Amino acid sequence: MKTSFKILLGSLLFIASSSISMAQCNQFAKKTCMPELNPFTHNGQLNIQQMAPGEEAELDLTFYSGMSYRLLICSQEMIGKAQFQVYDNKNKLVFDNKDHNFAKFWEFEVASTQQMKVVVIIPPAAKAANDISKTGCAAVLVGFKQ
Amino acid sequence: MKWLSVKLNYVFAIAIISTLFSCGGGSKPETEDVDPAALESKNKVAKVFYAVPSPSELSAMIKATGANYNKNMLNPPSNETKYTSIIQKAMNLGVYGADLSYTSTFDQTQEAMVYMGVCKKLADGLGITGAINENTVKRMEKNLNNKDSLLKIISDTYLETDIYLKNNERSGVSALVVAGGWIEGLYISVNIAAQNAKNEQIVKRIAEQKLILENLIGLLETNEANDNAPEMMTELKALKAMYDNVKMTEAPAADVKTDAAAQKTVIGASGELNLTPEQLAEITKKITAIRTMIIS
Repeated sequence: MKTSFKILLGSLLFIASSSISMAQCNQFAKKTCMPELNPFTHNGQLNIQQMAPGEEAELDLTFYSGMSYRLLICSQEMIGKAQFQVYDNKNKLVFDNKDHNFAKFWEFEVASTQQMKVVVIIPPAAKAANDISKTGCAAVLVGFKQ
Repeated sequence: MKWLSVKLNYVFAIAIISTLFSCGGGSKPETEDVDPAALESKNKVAKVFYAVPSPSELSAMIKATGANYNKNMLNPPSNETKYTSIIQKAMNLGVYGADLSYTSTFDQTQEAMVYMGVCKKLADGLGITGAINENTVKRMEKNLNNKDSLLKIISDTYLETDIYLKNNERSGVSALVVAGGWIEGLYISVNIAAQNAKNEQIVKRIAEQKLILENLIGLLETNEANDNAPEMMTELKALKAMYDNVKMTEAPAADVKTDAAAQKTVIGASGELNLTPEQLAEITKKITAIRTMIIS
């Protein structure tokens, strides 16, 4: 009984230490990611999620004609470089950062205002020996300028 | 100690069993027809976000249409004392935030200071003490003649508000702030269109809000606004029904040009949204009613 308690307590402590609170994720986005939006003006919304390898997140957003946008996808080192794809309003893939060395940010302009979909993918990782997947913060930030 | 150990193990056992059940989603009828591919895809998507442009972005576009500044369209600062509930404070923080962006974009710095003061009061009332503080006001005072710096300060304020609310598990309040800002931006736009029927650019921007409204409703529904602000949700859905009649012209697939060195992609022309004068009148009436409901 004593041994099983120690194992359980150890597991609990391990899980607690490896889990990341949303508050930490928000601080990560603010301190680490936000400066990379410069000289674009941030749209004021923080889209951030705790993600594990193999997971995807989606962001629906509108690009206005006459504006320039910077899309920044920022992920913690422990989950690796995030892949992001941008689809137009006809669901056609218009950009994939996999083709550009997993660039963290990219700029976009549209001749006609349109709805876009951004898909963020955390690449699958080899399973760890302890079989516990790591999670980390991934943020999608949008900046604009005229 | 032995009792504690047994009890802790009992708690762990319950937690593990609960986790197993919650991960599995509980027992399902054997006859249920589930598409394994769809299920796998759903499980892979951690979250769907909806981005709504900030009031600063809309204000910049309004100015680019050649519109003139008109203070009379804005929510008077004196109304601030009327807002007592959390819902009223949140939505009007959005409204005043949009007015703040509008005044700053049109270089009305003294007005901007007044609206920042009103936003501070509402933010304080919502318990968002860190987002707008004395330092924010001092930074604004120092940068009154530098519009870019002012807009950066306002953008930082939006971010701090969003971070504070999300850190405190109040995403629903954050979504209401965003909604208030969007509603005020559209209200200002339709008023500009009413004052200058020849301003085709502003009509185009009003038509484009169809796309934003879809994202806004998604954002609000994700954050339980149906429960928190049901009247506003009903009205926004009625507005969406009007926008559903605004059609996009058919167009071939847009050209896409990527410049790897500049890290930039340009997407060519695709369809345009066509807003008829009748649709504009209908939308003007509806957004005016929604905005009146919020600021009254």
